[in-house]
Amino acid sequence: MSVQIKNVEKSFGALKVVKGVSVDIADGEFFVMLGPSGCGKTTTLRMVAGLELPTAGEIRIGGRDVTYEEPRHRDIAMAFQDYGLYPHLSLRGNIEFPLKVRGVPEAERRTKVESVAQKMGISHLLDRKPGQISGGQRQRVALARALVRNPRVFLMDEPLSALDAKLRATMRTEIKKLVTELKITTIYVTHDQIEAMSMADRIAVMKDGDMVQIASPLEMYERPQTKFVAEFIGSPAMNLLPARARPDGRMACDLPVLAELLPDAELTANPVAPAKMAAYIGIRPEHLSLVEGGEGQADFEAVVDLVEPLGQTTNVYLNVGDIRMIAVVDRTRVQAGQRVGVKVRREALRLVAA
Amino acid sequence: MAESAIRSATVHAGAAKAQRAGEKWAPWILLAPTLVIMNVVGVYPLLHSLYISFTGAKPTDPNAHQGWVGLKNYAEVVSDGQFWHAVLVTGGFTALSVVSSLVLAVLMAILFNRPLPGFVLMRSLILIPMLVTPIAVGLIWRIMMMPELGVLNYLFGIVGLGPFQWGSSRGSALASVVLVDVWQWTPFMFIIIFAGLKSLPRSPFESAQIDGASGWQTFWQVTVPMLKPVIVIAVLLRLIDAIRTYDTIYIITRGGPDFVTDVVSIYLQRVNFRFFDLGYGSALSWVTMLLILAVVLIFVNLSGFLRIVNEKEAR
Amino acid sequence: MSATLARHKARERRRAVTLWLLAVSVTVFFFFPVYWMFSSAFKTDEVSSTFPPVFTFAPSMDNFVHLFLEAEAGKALWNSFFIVTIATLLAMIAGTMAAYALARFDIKGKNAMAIEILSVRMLPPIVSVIPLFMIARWLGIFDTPWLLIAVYTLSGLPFVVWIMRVFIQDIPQSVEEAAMIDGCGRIEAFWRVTLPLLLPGLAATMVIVFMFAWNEFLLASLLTSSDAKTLPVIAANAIKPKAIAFGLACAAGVIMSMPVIVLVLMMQKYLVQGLTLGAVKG
Repeated sequence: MSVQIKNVEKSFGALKVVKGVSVDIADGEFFVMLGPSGCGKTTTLRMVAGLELPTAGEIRIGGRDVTYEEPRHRDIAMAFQDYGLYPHLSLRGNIEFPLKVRGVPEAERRTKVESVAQKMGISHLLDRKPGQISGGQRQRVALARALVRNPRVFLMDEPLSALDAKLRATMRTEIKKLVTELKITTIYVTHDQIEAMSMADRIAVMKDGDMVQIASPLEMYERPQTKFVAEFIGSPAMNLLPARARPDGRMACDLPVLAELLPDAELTANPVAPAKMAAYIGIRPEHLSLVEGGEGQADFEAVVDLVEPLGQTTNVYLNVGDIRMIAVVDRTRVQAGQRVGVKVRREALRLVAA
Repeated sequence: MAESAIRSATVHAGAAKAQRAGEKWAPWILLAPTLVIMNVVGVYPLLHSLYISFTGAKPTDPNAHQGWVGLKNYAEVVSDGQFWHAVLVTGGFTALSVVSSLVLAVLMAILFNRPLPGFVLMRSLILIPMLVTPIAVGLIWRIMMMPELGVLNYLFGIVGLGPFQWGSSRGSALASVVLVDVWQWTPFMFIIIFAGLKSLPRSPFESAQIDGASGWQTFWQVTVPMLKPVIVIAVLLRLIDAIRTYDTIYIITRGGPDFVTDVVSIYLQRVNFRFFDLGYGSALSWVTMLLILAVVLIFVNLSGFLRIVNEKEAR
Repeated sequence: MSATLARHKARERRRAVTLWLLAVSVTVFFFFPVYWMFSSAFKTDEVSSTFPPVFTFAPSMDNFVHLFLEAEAGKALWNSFFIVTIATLLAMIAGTMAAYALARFDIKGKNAMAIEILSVRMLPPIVSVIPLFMIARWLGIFDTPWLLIAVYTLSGLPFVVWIMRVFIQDIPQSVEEAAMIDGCGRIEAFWRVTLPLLLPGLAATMVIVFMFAWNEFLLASLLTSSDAKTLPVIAANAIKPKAIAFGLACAAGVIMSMPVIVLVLMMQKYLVQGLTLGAVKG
């Protein structure tokens, strides 16, 4: 079922936490709202759920206006950060709860619960209470409860943030697989860019109650429109160098060679960074390579500040005068203090708005 | 199934909006009964009593001027030596009782904070005094404290002490009612502080041990500061109740002998319901209330009570 | 090596025994009067007015028989039970509703509320007794159970609001929200999910409110004259101008205290949180 959010606003007293958000989410899409805490992503999700009412704007699910409808009439399911399991009910009681309140007969409930429990790998736990199982198992129960009635839209509010890193990675793949299989429209809220990148069909990066950019994960990574997005997505973060427009329409940059290398097409490629405004020239660390010895091929020279070998790749921190940059390269023998040449992958240079 | 539920529940957006907007009123509907009871049974009589305090109401004396007398009653309160004596007695009683039960409760909490056989049962037995009806507490202690027949003098006699006059002599009456109050309410302080002690994390004690602190130092430098929030709450609640003590004193000494245990609540009861001097009694009540409020506010401010409560909430 | 260990162990044992003896004497101090009350309740007046006091005797039910036949304790017991039960229920229902509103909706003035509740807690009851007395006479409800029901509901209310608010806050909001998304309305979500989780807290709060109303004496003695007298009022009558009816006093004490002792010891787990208005967890 598609979800439309149109100019939705939400204020708590004088504080405006969501400032006119609009987005169309397609049927079956996995849509992630990504942002730091306090950016309004959870509030937006809760308005889609009907747990909060918007101060202005409209929310449609499957074309029907549900802006002021009660949560139970929206036919949605939700997974909470702290799972929201009913502590007094067994796992079976938890999973069958949505069916029970909707008056599904006992026999049908039984088969549905069994099958979803099997799918989530928790069949053997059904008679336990939520207090007697582990965090990962609890999240599985929460998902089972959400999936058991085939909701039209699946809302997830940081469902993995309470789990440890390893479990988080497994659950991530599992959720993605499950939801893709079932083709349920999913809205997923997280502050973890890796979760967003790995799961989403599209990501909306939110900041201060606004969606600052909506794009597919790769596009978001390749073409961040603003400094905020560029820094939020990707680790280590994109190298950003302050740049100014020159009278002749080209850019000036603290590291002039980057401004020279910036392809003309990039000057107009970013819709929110018109060439005349103050901006940044950005380059992802993996698009810088080190040239040892043959300084002639390098675009500029730098001094190695620190080398962090991570196994698969190596982070190299560079000083170019006062400018600090980082390059991600394969194995390298450069050492701190060494002077190296740096080569820039020209087509990866971007103009990023402030 | 779900589809039909959705369709039947579908309402016009306008109606839904009106209905959901009604949720704004939900908290006030929920609060309404409480607010009504608080105001009708609580605030209204209070205001009424404020009014009475400016009149000469005395239903038993038809000759008295029952109407408005302005500040006359309050002027009398100021010069009422008996009242200020009662205030002093109340202050002394409260201070003695709260301090002794606090000290005793802290010591007991530390004593019982270890696993020794029978401690669980003993803790339960110790709780009982605070559950016994105060009137019954007064009665049993009065019976035990009887100079000739009482079991207390018998028991003290065995170890060669006494006999004491307890509540019937000027010298020991106040100490006797304090003893009873301490007996009844130390358990209350004890379970609160004990619970606080149980909930403290272990690591500060372990690091104090490693840092080489003695048991005494650990107590003052680690235990007491960490227990402070719990102690503040226990003392505040105890303070409020000790100031109002009536039942046990009423039974044991009725304020005597010679007014040495004449606390404010006993004096007020006498003025209002022995002499039915309601106007003057109301003025006394209001002055008392303001005094108590002052004491509590001073304590609340000094101890940072609200900060403690709000911190609890923030978590 | 083993010698020092043995010495260490011996010292530890001596220490444990000392502390244990200390604990026993503390327990005796707090429990002895209770024991004395219970045992005296089963002594005839002859037995209890002997000196030195006796510790072994043939138990007699005389005092209880007297209490119910002559001292109208039956009626007072019924009054106490009726008044306190109704008042507790009213306070529980109204107070839990208010607590839910304060816990789950965003309402301003929480500190003001704290102060207000503290002030209701610290009012000397004698202050509002005069106007209540006058109003009750005017309404014609003096010496009826309804007056005390109203008063006890009021004094229980702040407790309930305060404690239940903490208990409700302890239940994650997401549990209730999950129920609303799963197909419940707000009321059904409360009924099916929140209420079952609140039951222990409700029971503990109820016991505490019951205890305070059940034990209350001052207002009961001033706002009743004959028909609506409660147990503590009757018990206080055991003091005659010249003497005390030992047996009657102790028997009344036993009857008054038993229900509370039993109820509270059953709910001990939640007692501390309740008594401290939710500020300290037991």
